[in-house]
Amino acid sequence: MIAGSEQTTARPDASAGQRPVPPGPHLGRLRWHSRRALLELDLLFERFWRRNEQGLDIEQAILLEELLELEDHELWDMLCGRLEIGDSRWRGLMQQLLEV
Amino acid sequence: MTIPIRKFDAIIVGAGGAGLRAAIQLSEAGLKTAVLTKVFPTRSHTVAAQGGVAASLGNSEEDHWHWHMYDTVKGSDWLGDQDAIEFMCREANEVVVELEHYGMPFDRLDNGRIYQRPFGGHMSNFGEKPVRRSCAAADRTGHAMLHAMYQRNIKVNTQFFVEWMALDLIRDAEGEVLGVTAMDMETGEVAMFHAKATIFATGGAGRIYYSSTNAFINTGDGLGMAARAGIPLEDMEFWQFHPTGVAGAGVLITEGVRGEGGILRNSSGERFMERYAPNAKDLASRDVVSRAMVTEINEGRGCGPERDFVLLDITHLDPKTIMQRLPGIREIAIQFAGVDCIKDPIPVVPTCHYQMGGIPTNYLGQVVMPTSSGSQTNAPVPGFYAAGECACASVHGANRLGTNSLLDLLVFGKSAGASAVEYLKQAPRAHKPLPQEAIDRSLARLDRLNTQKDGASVHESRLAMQRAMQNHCGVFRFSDKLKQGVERIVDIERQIAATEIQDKSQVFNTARLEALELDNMIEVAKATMVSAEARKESRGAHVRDDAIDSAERPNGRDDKNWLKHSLWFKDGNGNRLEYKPVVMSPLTVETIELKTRAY
Repeated sequence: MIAGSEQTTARPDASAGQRPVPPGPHLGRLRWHSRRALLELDLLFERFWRRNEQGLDIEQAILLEELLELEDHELWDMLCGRLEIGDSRWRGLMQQLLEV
Repeated sequence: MTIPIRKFDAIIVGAGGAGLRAAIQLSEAGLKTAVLTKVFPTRSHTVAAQGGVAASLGNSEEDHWHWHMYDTVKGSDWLGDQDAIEFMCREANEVVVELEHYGMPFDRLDNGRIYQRPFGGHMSNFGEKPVRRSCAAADRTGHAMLHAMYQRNIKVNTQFFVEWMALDLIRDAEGEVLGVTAMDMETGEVAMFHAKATIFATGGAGRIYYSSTNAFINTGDGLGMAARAGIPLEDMEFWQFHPTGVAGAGVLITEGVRGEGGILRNSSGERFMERYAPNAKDLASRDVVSRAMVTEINEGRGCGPERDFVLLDITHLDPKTIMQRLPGIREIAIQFAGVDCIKDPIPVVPTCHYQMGGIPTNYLGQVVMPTSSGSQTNAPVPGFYAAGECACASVHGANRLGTNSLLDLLVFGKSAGASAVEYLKQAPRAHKPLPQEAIDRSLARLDRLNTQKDGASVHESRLAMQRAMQNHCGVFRFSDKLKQGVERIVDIERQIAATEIQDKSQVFNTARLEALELDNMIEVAKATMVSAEARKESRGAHVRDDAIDSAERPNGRDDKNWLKHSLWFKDGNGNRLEYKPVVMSPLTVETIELKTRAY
């Protein structure tokens, strides 16, 4: 995409709840956005995707997309408990990311 | 086959610190500039840089660029080019002040000036005592720098192509660089970015090693593209290793842990650093600690079922100290080593951290290479520039000083941009015709990947390469292992030439992207292994067991035969090495004469 242009990849409908995200562009984009500037986050997201190889449900995908919008240091600090979690809806997903 | 053509005055590949700094220079000159980047600019690996940026501002105590230059030449173990080092150290103050004007939130002194802190290897008065030279924004210097420069680029209308992956450098029959082919990840569309000037700022390639502190994006894309286009790679045998990366993960455990009393132990629980550095012990310099760790492992005193790591023990420290003074370390240990470091020691290994070599440039950021006639060793490649970790100016030589990496990307990002501006002033108005055969070669590479049957797995091939690099060309190098390593990497190269992906879709196909990255990584890996095997001395970060310490060759450094830069060329399916002299003459001051490097 060109910075500032409209996002053209279709996003799932937020009201669709627990339905799985169909394989394809949306999941591919989330996987690519899981490539981060910090190795710590790369490793957590790599583990997350390994555990969710079959895909995500729509609610998970929406929350993940929100997390991936955060700055790397901000996200890592939230995961380490050094920074208050910005939105309580993220808590469950963050726990999944930290599950050893 | 025809593909869309997008025309610009200049394109920059990579939007980390060097790319953003170069883009400011071009856009401020009113040139139509595009920046291609595979991730959003503020997610580039520059974000991870904590230490600061070196500049002899002298805000807290007397300092001088000449002292900084001396430290950098010495740090490089005299392999750095003294003209480029003088240039970098002299320009440092100006680029730091410019950055301040872009809005960089540097830490401040009470009088409002930029606060400066000491950093390893930076000394006053030609090595006399430590000096405060590092300018930082808390421990988020790289992050703050990227944000300040990205905002500046928005202001000056730089056009960003985010999530575009550059595929191949396009040169015409005269060797002039005319841009790159690139793929839009979102649609799979391939386009030609046709430009009069092309700047590579693609970062390092630390992911070629199994244990690396680098983020996954550091795959040496610029180096791979340059090598395939016939540009040599310089001094690729020199990689800086950090002694304490978490075994199996690479995440860096800061030196502060040993500063707070952390102890390195072998399989019998011995504090082995007492044997290698009786005074400094666990706080000896990075290279000394790394080599001691590897010696313990190689002599069978490593830990774990494979005896392939040592332990960093902080269990004797008060848990409150760990939580207060070493924030994040417990979380790193739990997450990436599977241990609670309050109760159990952390498995660690020396871990690849920074690439000193790269695409050869001069201090103006112009890519240079020998002419085919041999009449010039540093002839500029028309229309081609490089800066940052992907380039070799060469200011770091055989070993980089801390805080000089952020300075490198500012100074040479700016000078590459400025050189491109000057070049464009004299360039004809029209773009040169594109060589269709070069574009076809690039498309054929993509087509091969899309149609490969019964090929090798990308994941397994990458793992094989990373393990070969770690085992054969790590922090401490052995003649026989290097020889075996060259054979091994050639085998893996053949495997990678036939990688296969199952998913052939066009949109955000991460499997295809990883395969394309691996094509770049293998060039860097081969250049590293071959250059390291050939260099029969120890210098800086390249340490061989068969380079004997003697009066003539202190620490195994052999200036008589090896005071020269390696140039590795991809040559069809093979490769060749050439060498060129180190620039020992600075721009305005006397040569810093060869000495034994000791601290």
